[in-house]
Amino acid sequence: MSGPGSPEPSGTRTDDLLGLLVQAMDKTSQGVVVCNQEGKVVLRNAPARGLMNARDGDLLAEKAVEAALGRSLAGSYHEETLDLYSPARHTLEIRSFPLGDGTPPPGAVALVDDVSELRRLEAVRKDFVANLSHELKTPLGALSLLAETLDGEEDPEVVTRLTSRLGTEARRFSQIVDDLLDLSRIEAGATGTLAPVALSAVIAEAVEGFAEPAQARDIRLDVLLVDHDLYVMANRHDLVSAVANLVDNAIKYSEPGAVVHIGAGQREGRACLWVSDEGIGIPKRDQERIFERFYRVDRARSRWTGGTGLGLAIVRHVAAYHGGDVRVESTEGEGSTFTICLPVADQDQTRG
Amino acid sequence: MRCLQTVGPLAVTNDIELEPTDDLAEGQSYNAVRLIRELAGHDVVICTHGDVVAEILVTLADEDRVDLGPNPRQAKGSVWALEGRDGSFTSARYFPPVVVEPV
Repeated sequence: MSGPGSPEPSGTRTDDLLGLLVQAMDKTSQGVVVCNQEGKVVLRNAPARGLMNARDGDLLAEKAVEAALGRSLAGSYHEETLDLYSPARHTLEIRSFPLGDGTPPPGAVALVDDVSELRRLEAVRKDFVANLSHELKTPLGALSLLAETLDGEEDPEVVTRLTSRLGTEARRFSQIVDDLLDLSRIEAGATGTLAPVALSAVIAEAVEGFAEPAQARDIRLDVLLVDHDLYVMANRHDLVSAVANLVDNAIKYSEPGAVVHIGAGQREGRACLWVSDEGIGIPKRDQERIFERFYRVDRARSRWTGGTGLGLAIVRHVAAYHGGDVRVESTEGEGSTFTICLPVADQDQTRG
Repeated sequence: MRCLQTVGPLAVTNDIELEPTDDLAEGQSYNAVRLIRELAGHDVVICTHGDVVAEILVTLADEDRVDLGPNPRQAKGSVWALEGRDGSFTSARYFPPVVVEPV
């Protein structure tokens, strides 16, 4: 093999080298289209053929690339973004350059990138930043307004009420920051070592802190363990937090006198945990979106119940990094069931 | 009582009838927000207590995404002008208390 910078490997003919280069270009993710001095396309690598195979919107892409090559044959660099809506919505970035130093140039090259996913991620990021600013500004605005109201207030009853409201908003702010840090840690993959954990232990720990708030709202927590020896490989803290999050929501969205069922068992070969309530339910149109960050079905209710809008996003991420998923089944006016399903731990793993 | 005294002179000057309501009493934030939403789009002057004002503003900022500015204030005697219609609000503007110098 020749060293880097060698003009041509010894014993390789120019035709062979050209063939290798064309094959190498087929392996890149970028579309490459080359034309000669007359504007005739003489090379189109595999990604370019994939992006422009003359169907619907692809035909528009082909025309745009031809136009870009034409401009570069006239000697100029050209760059444009093309939004296509058919057959599927996607965005292409086209850049073209003249080749060589001659005037007119002996040819031109167009580089085509499918930036649809990049654009989608940019939009998600911008959306997240806008939502985050709003979510943080709300409790901060409340703190500012309430503090000014408190200033100079002499009625002890009003002072007590305002102080209590200040505390609520400060806790809301702190909870948003805590949830964001949790989400960020999980998204960054800092999930710690997974160890065998019995689902019965996860449920016991998750439910433990809710006996009092449930009782205060006259809601009964009913725990049903189908299989006591069901183990998963998990970060115990995160899995307990995820289940606790679901139990917390179930209590908040149930009416007094209702029952919240919490259970675990094997389903289709997976270890599943479920939390089921008899609450207000979730409209069909919202069911797919409730796991998005800061998505709330009812903002007013969420404010009164103290939700951050991040709980279910954390649950989804926790389930995902354990190799599982979370699903919701809900009927408006009847209630909702959230089910987390994870791979069952091997017996070898549980023996440690 | 204090609220009626506050807006009384304005009502007399403009020949407007005052309507007392328990929905704007201290600690009645939920009812106050509901009332405000019912009145969105109408020309109404409302006077209530500081904690209720704070709750109304924060609710509108959160639920309707009304911009309260970088450092929202509500000094005693200040006014917030809210614009909206059909149960929701689009903007809010703060007017600090007017200081009347003794002659």
